[in-house]
Amino acid sequence: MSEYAVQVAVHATTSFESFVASNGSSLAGFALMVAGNRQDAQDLVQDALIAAYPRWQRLSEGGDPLAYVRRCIVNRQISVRRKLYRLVALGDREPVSADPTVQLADADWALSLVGQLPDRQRIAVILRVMEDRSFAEVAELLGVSEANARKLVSRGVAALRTHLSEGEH
Amino acid sequence: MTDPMDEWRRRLQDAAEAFRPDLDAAELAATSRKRRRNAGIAGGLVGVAAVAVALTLLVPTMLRPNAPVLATPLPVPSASTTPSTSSTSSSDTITVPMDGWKHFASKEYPITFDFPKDWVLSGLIGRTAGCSMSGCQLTLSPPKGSSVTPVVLNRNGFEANDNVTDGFYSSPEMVAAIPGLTGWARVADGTARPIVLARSRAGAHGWDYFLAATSDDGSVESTAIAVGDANPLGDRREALFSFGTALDNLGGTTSGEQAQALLMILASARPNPDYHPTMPVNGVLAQFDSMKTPVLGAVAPDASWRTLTVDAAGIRLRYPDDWKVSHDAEQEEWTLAAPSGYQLRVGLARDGDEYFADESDSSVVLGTVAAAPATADAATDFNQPVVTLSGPAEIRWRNGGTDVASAYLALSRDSRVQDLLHFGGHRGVQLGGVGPGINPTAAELDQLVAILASVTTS
Repeated sequence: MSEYAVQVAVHATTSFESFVASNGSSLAGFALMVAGNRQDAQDLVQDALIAAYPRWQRLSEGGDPLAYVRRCIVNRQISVRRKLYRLVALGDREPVSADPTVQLADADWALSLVGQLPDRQRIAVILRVMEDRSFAEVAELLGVSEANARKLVSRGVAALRTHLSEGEH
Repeated sequence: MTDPMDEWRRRLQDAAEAFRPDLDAAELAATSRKRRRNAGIAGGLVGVAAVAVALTLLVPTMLRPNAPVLATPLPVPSASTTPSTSSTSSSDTITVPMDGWKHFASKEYPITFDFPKDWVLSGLIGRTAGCSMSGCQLTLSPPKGSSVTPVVLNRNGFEANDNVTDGFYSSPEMVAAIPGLTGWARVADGTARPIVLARSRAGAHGWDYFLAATSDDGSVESTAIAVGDANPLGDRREALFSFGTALDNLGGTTSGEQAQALLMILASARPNPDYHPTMPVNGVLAQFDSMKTPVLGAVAPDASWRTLTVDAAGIRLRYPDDWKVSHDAEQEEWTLAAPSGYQLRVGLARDGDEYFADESDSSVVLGTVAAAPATADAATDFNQPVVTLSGPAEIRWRNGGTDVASAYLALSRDSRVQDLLHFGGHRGVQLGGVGPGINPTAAELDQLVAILASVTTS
């Protein structure tokens, strides 16, 4: 009982440093799947944490920092403003093979497939397929109707299956 | 045999777990502090600072004598009827004539504002004032030929979403207080916060200007805000709005004399007493009028009707002579446009055949097309088993509301409605009225139903 109480107390006063230490890896992984490439993913997770820092006291006391940072990652990925920045940095992006017969490392192969989806489709697929979020949650995170979330997931999955079947030939 | 999707999921998960970018909390915190500090330093050096830094905005009361508009850094100077902006840190005084400015107020938006008569508001769609289910947005653009950037008023839509968030503007800083304007930034806010005119760096483009709420210590905290007598954010996220520029997205500038009107526009914002954040969807967002339910058979093809054959889908259909057909080869889509502009689209499935069925379809069945037996997969979710439907295609009808009135072909079972149909083993195809943006006329609606009823397998 006392152990539980201690855990609660620790959680309620989580420092920014301990939060990053505990959740940085999972946030980075989430950002990688949302972005579809490593360069953007690193920017995304860093920017989201930097944005969270000034609000940390309020977030750690009464909010859900993890949910906040994850939402930041999604928002930044789909914001038009960020897209403009990404265009500038396009030359730095990892090459994505358009030829499905080209052998890529396992991780790069999986990334290259998801990286080919449009942003919203990719995020919808990640949230639904990889994170098992409900369509309502996907819709809320993406700011679309639930019906649109279904379409995004459906079309994203269909596109992935098409790419996967092409890769088998 | 392993499902390729499962293999892909496993590898992607592995990639995510192996990804370990450098995340040094101390460095991130330092960068955050540095960004905020730099934004402040840069502000004092940029040319626009003559207007923006230590700015006093004194907007006259010409339009609304009982609602003086005043924006100023603290301490608040006395109100003035002189239309001017002036800097308290220098002798610069800039006059912005506000004679004849227009006043914007719409029940769909939480604030009102004033703007020069030669600026143009866009986004107004009928009585819904630029609203859709997922958000409402108005763009106020300067006169043609002006280099000034537009101002955007954006609010959350009526569905659960956060189109309006704090993420858009980074490291905002206060430019001027707007006395008398308060609002809400957090669910937990028990007391309304001061709303100020703020700005943030827009990359190399200059400064974005916008309204923002301040925190208890007076710093700018939130650019997604709500206004009103009581805090609506507990259960009404749609009350959140932002009002400001977006240089990165829209281009233009906030520098120079012309841009001073822009600051006056922002500073003229006042709560809209007629706005109500709880407007029901079917009230505010009933963009499209209800129509009388069409009757199957009210119209029948005659000799004047033409024939469209879609080989890839294995179907043909008849359509009135005055409906115009166009084909988009890239989209693999045929559009049949009625004289009013209302459209029926015939679209081939492009991304495979896995569109999920709809479980919340409000449509009703008008009848079936015996000459068009179809099949459809009616999975409603990636993780659910596919249910295969077959039978004569249904003609379903959905009245106007948040979407246009429409009729379309589908198959259904229980609550599942699938409008991606296969005819005779051909590619999947969708056929339905889509507007866009307008209801059909009553006669066109009957024709639409007749077109769908004319579908035969080829």
